[in-house]
Amino acid sequence: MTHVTPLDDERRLVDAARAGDRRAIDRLLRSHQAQLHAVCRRITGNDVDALDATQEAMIAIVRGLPRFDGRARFSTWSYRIATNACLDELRRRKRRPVVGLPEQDGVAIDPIDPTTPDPGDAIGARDEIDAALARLAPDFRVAVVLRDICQLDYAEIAEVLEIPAGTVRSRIARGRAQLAEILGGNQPPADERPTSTP
Amino acid sequence: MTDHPTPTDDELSLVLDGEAGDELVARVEADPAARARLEELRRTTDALRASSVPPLDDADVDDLVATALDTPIAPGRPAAPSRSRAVPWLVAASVVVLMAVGLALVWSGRSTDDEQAGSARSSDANAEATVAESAAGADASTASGAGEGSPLGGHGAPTTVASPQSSRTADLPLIYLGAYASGGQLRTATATSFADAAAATQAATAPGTGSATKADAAPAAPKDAALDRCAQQLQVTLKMAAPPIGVGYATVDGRDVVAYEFATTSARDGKDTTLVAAVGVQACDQVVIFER
Repeated sequence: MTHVTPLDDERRLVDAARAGDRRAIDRLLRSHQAQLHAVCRRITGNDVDALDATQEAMIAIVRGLPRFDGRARFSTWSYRIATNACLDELRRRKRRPVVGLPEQDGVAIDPIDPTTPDPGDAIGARDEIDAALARLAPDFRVAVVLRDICQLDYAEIAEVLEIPAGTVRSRIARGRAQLAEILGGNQPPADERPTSTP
Repeated sequence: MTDHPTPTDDELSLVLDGEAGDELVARVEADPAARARLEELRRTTDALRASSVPPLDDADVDDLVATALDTPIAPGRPAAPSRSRAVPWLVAASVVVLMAVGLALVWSGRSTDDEQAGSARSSDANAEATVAESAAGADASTASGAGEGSPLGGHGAPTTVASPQSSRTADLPLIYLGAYASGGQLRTATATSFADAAAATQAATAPGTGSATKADAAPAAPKDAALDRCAQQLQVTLKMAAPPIGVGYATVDGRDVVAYEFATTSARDGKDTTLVAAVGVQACDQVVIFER
């Protein structure tokens, strides 16, 4: 369920939450849980890690509220926290045995097995997207998720990730190019196309 | 004739996101290969956007929010228990022990006999330490990675907590901090030091300033037993290595509050800092906690 909170109401809610009002904190967390979980689900790629990361993010939000100065939008700030929680979760997962993810730029990417899910099926499509995202390097995955799932603009993503806007642009472009290659499975290899201006 | 280079994926992404200038848009429009590639990228992003994440169950949301709200709001907390690895009976046992501790704390807080309170404190503190340690044990599989290289990270908290029995406030001067409408105001007033807050309160209520009101009059100071009880509880829950270095009291929205200063290490830069924790006198429940 998506909760829509008018900006002014949210500002009041955030002020109350910062002052330690538990009901306000409760409302704030509930109104943002869907977005937080969505970004975590897409970045971590599975339900269990997404739930853990969402929990970590909520705890960090509660802990960090007294330090939230209101200069950024609450949603931007909370996305930053959720993204960091997800990256922490990925680091923890990296220490456990998992199917390898490409870690370097320019790594050759195998197209998804064509025998896997019917693209017309919603769950199958979701699995396909998950599998495709999992093949991206985390830096690219996060940038693409923040842009295409969270629909943040480039400046907001730069703020969330604390990187220059040019880097945001590059990561989104390269992430999308790799996704197109993976999802399409029949596009020319990435090295046959320029990804950035020489 | 000008030979325009084929737009790159970077440039096509800009077009896709509506961040491109007119010249670039025109260049893409004029290039069939670029238009085809743009469509390909558009299909990819459309597929991504159309693929929804299933919403969480209400029970999961309740659980997430309740856990976040019940977490001590202070730096230094280890990573949250991994939900996938949590042991339900351990959680249930912790709840039972916490309830018992809470009841005992309420009882000890009502006692006016310092010796009696001291005795209760000792047993309560041991019970609290046990709870904290069992929680830390449950976290063990994930705590090692908590906040590594992350701005969300821990507070440089020690992995072991000093015995809460060492908590003492009796030797510290008890400072009246003033009356505030909210925890946020108390936070602002104590942002630099308790002494500054006290000085500001004294200045505001000094005879001749015209600002003294009945509400500004200092309330009765909390009893030593209550001060020690909350100090010990905070030392355990916030995992402070040492007892508080400062103690004050105030009213927040008409409610009696005690506030402590703990010397600790900042999670942000690893430097020494002070954690300020203000809690209700009756139940030691959080009013405001922040790091200077």
